[in-house]
Amino acid sequence: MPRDSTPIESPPAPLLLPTRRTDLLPPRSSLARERIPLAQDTLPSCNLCLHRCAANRSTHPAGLCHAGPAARCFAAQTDVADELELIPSFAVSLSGCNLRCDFCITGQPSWNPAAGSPVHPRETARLARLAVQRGARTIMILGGEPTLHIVTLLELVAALPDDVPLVLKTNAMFTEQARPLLAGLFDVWLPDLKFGNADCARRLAAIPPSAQAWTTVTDNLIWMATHHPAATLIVRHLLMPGHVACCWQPIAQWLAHTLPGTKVSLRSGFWPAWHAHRHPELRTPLSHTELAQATRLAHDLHLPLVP
Amino acid sequence: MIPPNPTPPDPPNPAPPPHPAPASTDLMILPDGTIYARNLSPELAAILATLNPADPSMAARAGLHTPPSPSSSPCPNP
Repeated sequence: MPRDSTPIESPPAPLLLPTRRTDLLPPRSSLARERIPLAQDTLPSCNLCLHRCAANRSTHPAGLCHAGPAARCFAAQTDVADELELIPSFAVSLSGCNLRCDFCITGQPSWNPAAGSPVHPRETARLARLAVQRGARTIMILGGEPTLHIVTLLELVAALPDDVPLVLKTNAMFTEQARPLLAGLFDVWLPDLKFGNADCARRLAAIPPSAQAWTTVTDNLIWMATHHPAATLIVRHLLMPGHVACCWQPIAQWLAHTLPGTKVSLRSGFWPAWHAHRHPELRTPLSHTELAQATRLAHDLHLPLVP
Repeated sequence: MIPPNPTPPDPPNPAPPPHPAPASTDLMILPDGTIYARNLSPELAAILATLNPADPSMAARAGLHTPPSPSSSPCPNP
């Protein structure tokens, strides 16, 4: 049985595309273009993410992520695996990440910023337009972690068509240094809230407790929800076997308390891949029992789940 | 940690920018017949939906695929 997302229990509601209020803001391509020099200024002492390496990435790869000044792309294709209201989506995947999740579904190209090909924004924009002509309803930028590659990200946004909803899929571990560069550019924020506690974050993704991942991500979620009301926020959580109680439960409770009414995408298609085998509980897919527990908790907390 | 590879030099002659990678979908098939799909293309969603017509999620994704008409242009990605 093909299973790539949470099964829907009733016929899907009419799909509501995010609308862009271009009458209220300059075109996002203009905003992005203006910010490119500011983004370049962050590279000599990069503190774009929670690791705060202060590494000099302006001329060569550096820092924990080993990312350089320009990003590479390991995939650009139309995808229907994501949330129903966003698909088909032309998804542009940038190589390199600031996390080391052992369960990473894209594995090597996600971790290696040298994977794939150099990004050519105009060519990517041409492919995106072609995908839209063939039925894509949104354009999505993801990784790896796209916010690391802030210059290339802005160059892409500056080249992409303004009239197609733009989605950013992110681990939401960027700092306040990145926020003004990202603000107002995206019609849909699709952040992951991966871990419900510091121990799982450390054990599964090598995030030191000192990095304060929980605070970083939740602060960013609140920022995403409030800084640009016209944008849609969909918070994702990948359900992992053995992590319903320790991760999903605190996340669900936080969402219910702090961001009530925010759409939640509960991803049930855990795929034991990459280095997941290092952890005994991650060697198998999610069980039906755990999925039922997680879904029941979401319903009990009145979280609006999206298919 | 994966050591970074050196960035390859620019080609000497201008050429069309390469596509990042041929479009692909990854499938994992478990012994019990469960199929996981990653980077699911619309075309493959349509195929998977025929394997399990009772899966509403896959049916919804497959429903977004419009087979190309005979007069449509070929796939832009070589």
